[in-house]
Amino acid sequence: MIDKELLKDSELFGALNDEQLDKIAALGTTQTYDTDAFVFHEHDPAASIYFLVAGRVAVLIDIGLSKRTNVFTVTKGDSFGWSAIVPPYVLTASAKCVEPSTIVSIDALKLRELLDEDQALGLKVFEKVTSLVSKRVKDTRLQLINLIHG
Amino acid sequence: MSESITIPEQTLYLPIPTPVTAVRMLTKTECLITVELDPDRIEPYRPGQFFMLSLPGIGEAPISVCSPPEAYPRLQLCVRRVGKVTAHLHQLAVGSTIGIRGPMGNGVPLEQLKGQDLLIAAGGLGMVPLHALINHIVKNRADYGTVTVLYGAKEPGELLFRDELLQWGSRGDLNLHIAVNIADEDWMGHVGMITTLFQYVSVDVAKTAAVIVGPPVMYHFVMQEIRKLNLPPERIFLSLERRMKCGVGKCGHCQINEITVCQDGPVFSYDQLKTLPEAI
Ligand SMILES: Cc1cc2nc3c(=O)[nH]c(=O)nc-3n(C[C@H](O)[C@H](O)[C@H](O)COP(=O)(O)OP(=O)(O)OC[C@H]3O[C@@H](n4cnc5c(N)ncnc54)[C@H](O)[C@@H]3O)c2cc1C
Ligand code: FES
Repeated sequence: MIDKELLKDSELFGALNDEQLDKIAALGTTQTYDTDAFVFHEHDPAASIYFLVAGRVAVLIDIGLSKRTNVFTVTKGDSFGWSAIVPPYVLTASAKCVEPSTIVSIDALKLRELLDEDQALGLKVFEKVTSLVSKRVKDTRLQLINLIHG
Repeated sequence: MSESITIPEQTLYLPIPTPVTAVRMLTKTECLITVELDPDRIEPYRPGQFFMLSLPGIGEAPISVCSPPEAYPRLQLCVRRVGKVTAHLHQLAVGSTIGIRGPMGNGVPLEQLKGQDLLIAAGGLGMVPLHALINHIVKNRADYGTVTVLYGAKEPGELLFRDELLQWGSRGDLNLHIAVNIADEDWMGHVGMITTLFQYVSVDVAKTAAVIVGPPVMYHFVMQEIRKLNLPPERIFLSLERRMKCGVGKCGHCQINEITVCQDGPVFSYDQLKTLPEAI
């Protein structure tokens, strides 16, 4: 259980009403991580969805030979690990703290059950997930364009 | 009776032999060349202006002023190796001589920026002219309000002036945010396009001016963020890069409609560019 006020700063849950925030807050826990600590690893089952309360997190993608590329930086208020509510529920990247970080994690299995039961809430959350994914795609396109034409 | 020296316009047509006093590699592809200008023949320069550097029998290339005006008659130039002239410039040794014409172009309107909060955005080699401007600001810090610098590079290895970035970042009176497009796992900084750094920017619209220098593709996307800040177009300045030959408004190589980038620019206010859609 976390304080629902924390969720109000999250891009994914910030627009929910108080009753909906209470339901999500009941599934959350807050953890702190040291610099270099991994929040999760690519290819693992996605057990939680996260948002960053403080600190900074690097999103890394395996490129083989035990190497990873840093493709995106998660900043305060950003959500990450959204594979936890999108089939096949497998993490598509790793997340590593590049500063001491405070992170809220929401239990994915219980969240999926909640979103199934309360479809109005489900719709609102999935609208946000879609816009989050679309923002990431746009940012990635810009990175690509810049790498090619910059 | 004392007479002020006027440098004839003709000087801009003639390369002045100028000694190279230092050469240092900054990255794998960029080197920093220091030359000592002849103050009797080459007048003081401003950030945003450029010089035509020539090597007899090889060719000539426009290169931006990289040092602040306070360094004059010393001049620093940062050169990326992309082709024939720049490859030869990379091979210069201390004590050798290059031909220099300039300073060319209008430069950044320093008087207009005085007293303003500044938002400076540099993409890639755009940091070269902005290095001159930022160092000028640092040397005259009381003349400016809040200063925010956003700097984007493709990868950490392409970041220019790394020692100075560290110094600027630790000054406390300059907000520096750096983004790289892609990095390896050891990079502890921000990864993303320069546009993702705008989340850290808040401006006082009444007293902020923006100066942006980078590749054309950067202007396109950075201007989308700048427009969201509602800054007046006459307080947004961009430096255009166009192919140049003469540098003095005669050959037409850098012409866009009725303007020549080498003479009327290379620094333009967004207000001026709005009527030239092909400019950015
Ligand atoms: C006002 C101005 C200021 C500049 N400041 C700097 C600077 O501070 N440092 C720096 O390293 N470079 C700067 N440049 C770019 C530099 O002038 C060119 O890279 C140089 O002229 C290339 O000459 P070259 O003979 O080495 O390459 P070339 O053999 O002529 O060309 C090699 C490659 O570079 C490309 N190229 C050449 N000129 C340009 C250009 N103007 N814009 C984009 N692509 C080009 C060509 O298409 C080709 O692919 C500036 C250009 C301008 C117009
Ligand atoms: S370079 Fe000749 S007109 Fe500009």
